Amino acid sequence: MSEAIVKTVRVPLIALDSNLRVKTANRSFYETFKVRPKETENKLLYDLGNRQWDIPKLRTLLGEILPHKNMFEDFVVEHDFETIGQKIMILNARILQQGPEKKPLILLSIEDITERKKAEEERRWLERQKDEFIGIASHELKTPVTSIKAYTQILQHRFQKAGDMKSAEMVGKMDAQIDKLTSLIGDLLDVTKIEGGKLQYHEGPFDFNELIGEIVEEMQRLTTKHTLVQQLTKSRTITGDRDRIGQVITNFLSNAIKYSLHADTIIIKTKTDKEGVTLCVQDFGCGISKSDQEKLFKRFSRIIASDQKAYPGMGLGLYITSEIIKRHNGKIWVESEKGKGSTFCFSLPLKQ
Amino acid sequence: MISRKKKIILAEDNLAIVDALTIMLEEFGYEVIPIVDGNTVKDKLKEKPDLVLFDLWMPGWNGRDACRHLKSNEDTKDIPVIIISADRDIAQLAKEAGTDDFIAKPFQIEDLLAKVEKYLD
Repeated sequence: MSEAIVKTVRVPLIALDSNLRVKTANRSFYETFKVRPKETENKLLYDLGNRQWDIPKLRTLLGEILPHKNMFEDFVVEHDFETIGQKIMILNARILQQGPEKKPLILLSIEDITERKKAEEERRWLERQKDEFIGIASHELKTPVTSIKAYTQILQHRFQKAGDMKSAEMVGKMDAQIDKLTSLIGDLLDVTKIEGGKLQYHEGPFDFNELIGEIVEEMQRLTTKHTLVQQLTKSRTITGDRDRIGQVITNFLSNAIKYSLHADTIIIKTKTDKEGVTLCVQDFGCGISKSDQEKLFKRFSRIIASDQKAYPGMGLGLYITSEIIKRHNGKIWVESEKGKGSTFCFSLPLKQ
Repeated sequence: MISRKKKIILAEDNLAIVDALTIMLEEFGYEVIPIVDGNTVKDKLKEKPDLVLFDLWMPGWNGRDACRHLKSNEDTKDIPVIIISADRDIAQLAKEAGTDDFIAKPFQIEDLLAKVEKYLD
């Protein structure tokens, strides 16, 4: 019976008796290690090849762990094999009791994972290269943007001084577009940092309502169409990264403005209880279908409008936002009905 | 009596940013000493600036080291130092370097001028 088991398995497999002498091996074993049955069978495992299996840790596993636990799993061996060169193998073993005398039989599978390991390392290396590239690219993009913005503002100042308000206004619009570009670059940099686990959080206590007030005031200045209505409960001091939480609120508000172009009101509500604070931003815009809601907080997720045109954006904002909230041990969610508007909320615990 | 123009050392390796910032600051009545190589900061300090604007990652002598040097030296420790950087973690980096203030790139002209004014009043 043991013979049949060994033969049917496609991973290299050998069967050993209790003295660790090879009883049989399958075809995959002979092919993988480029050896023949006659130099394998009836030999002690440790004597095979250039004594490649004579490893102290394997001796412990086979001699001590195996008789005690009847198995071991995923033991990795890196070895320069006589016939096939440097390889990484993963070993698994089981003891079977067979026959009326219950003679123990050890089944030892040896899988070559060299290629898999190499591919994995290659993938990791590429991943690191990509992170590094995007990081450098974002930083490099910010530098010219900084000087363009500075020149733009000098021009605006000069036009204003000369009383050329029309030109000043145009340059002001240019400046607003530069800000959009800056925030896109910032998002790209943030995603890179999140992916690499390198997004830094600088935690400290801050007043929740004060932060909301600052951001609402700033956003109100940028939108002429919408009225931002604050319905805040008594403020609490929370501990977290003030700038990052601010980024989340800004993201909620700019989304609300962007996706409710035909509405004129946006409501910002807070709720406090013993556990924490909740902030919700409600708009009366296009709303989001159930299927889109599920994808919303994923990377690169974008909303397609009813006329099949995609809204502008890279689909990074809500992903970054949800990562920030998660890192603060908070929750983020959305309630929405297509055509009626959306309410985006997050809650943060008072004690981190 | 006309008061002396306030002197600002501007150390930044990007020439376009140096140019734009110099125009901007001069337009608002400051005298600007531009530096594009961190290694010349020590030399220029002899001109007794009223304020120093540092880019955080200037080649040669970076803004962080420069700031530590300034702040640990009796003659220069009272000169206000503002760092400018495109790094989003600038607040933390500024704290570590012991600067008086910081401003993130790209900046709003009013914000930069407000910070400069605050220290030169």
